[in-house]
Amino acid sequence: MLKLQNVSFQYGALTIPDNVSIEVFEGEAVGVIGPNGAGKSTLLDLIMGSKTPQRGKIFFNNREISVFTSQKRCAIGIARAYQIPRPFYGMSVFENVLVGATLGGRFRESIVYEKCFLVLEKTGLIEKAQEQAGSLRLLDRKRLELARALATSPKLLLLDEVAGGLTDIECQDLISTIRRVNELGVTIIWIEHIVHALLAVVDRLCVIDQGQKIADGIAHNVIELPKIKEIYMGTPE
Amino acid sequence: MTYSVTRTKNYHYVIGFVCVVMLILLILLPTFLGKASLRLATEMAGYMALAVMWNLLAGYAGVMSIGQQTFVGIGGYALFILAGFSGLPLIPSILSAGIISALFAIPVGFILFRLNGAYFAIGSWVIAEIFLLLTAQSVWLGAGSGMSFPTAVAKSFGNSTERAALFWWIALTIAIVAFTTAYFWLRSSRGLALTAMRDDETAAASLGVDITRNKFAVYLLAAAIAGMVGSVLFLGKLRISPTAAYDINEWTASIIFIVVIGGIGRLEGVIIGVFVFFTLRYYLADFGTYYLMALGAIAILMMIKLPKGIWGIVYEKMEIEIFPLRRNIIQTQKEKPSHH
Repeated sequence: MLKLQNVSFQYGALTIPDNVSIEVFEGEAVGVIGPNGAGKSTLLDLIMGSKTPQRGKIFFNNREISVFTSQKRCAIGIARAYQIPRPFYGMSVFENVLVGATLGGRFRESIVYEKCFLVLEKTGLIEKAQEQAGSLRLLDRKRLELARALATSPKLLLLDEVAGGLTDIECQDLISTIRRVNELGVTIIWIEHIVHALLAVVDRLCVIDQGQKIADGIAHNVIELPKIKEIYMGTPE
Repeated sequence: MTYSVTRTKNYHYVIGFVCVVMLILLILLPTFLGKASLRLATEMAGYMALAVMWNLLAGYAGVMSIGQQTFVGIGGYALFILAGFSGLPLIPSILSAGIISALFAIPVGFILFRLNGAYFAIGSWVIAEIFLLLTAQSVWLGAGSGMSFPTAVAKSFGNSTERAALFWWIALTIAIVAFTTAYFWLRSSRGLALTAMRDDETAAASLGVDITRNKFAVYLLAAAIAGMVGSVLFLGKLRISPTAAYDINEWTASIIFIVVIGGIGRLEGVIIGVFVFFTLRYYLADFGTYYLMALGAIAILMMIKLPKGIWGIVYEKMEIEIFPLRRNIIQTQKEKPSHH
């Protein structure tokens, strides 16, 4: 479904990611881990189109999308929830979701109301639908990130540390929501530092370090690899 | 539980009624006011139209243009040439002035939209200065000293009292067109896009909002309105010169003041802003250049203390909208099946 082919992005002297190739198949849930600054979020920027790779190509459903704008990528079914929530502060929670549903989904407003209510129910925000997004607390902001992305009816959902800063119970909540979304057939790429949350959902794990992909495979196997434990967990054995 | 969406609340029917009454009074204004007051009202209507557009540009679309005087000037000159010297009737001339301004906005926008933020702002000003210099070099436009509107043509619009009334009605129409277009634009899904852009452009783009197209559309509309405002206001003065036509203080700085005082990114703000601006101008005009300094000081103070402007505060405290844009959700319990 999504194919990154030798993709590189240059930050001044730093190339991160550097010559990375990943292929994600339809219906998969892929976790991406790696130390801070490894290039994980940049990878999502490249997939979403807020950055364009200097080298390499990106394909989505066999179509090259390397130079598509974010808006165009959204239209063909890619959506992203940001690490630091970026709600539309002055709009209500409902209107935030409506942006994704009408403009991302390219539907007329009145047809998508029902869908927005559904997404809000699924993400536990329906009670707060009327509130200003700017007044939400962290968990709800993270939920809103997810809700807005879901409202665009994505085929591929990019999640960027959506579990960070949540309590255990909140985290469990989020995990079951994401799992349900994946079960509905949405492909997921999820960057996360909270590995146990990740492992509860994903079946495949990619490890990125200093811009390089150093491991990629079945999640539970990858996490047991000695070099991963050493680099990522910092526990040399 | 089921949910539905409504846009209006009960008090909006009252507001709607008040608006209709006010509109009738405004149309009848020439029967109560003398020439001088009517000219002031005409100017206010023009400023209102410009402020509504600048609010849409900067407050929503994130287009920080400080070069809207470009289009005011183009519109003014276009009218003098079309109605004054080419014999085109007045109303088609004013409409054409708007269209010509918008046509100029296409290449200008094409250049400017490659720039971002502060660069865009400076670029837009530079372009206005270029138009000023080009006009001042053009002998067919009267060069540096400008042009006077032919007296014979002006007289064909009626005597000075009738003209004041006519120009007022035209300016009022432009202001209403600007305001209602902005209102319905903001209510539509395009408005949803603009409001999302106002709050976070990157997030809006990744949710499918076409940023550039929305910006460009607003920019063209603003140019057309500015062109029509320029045409009617310079028609009222019966004189146009490059420095007056492309005056940044008059056509942009004052407009920014109005929008900032009233509340940027709020439709209602500009109405308050226009009245505050004209009141201040009326009372401070005798102090010469101190007047501009005072306006500047007030604007700076406002930006520091009340960055959301007067209407921004009202909205936050009371959550009322005079012109309903919000989508309100109504919760209804599903009816239980009745047993007989």
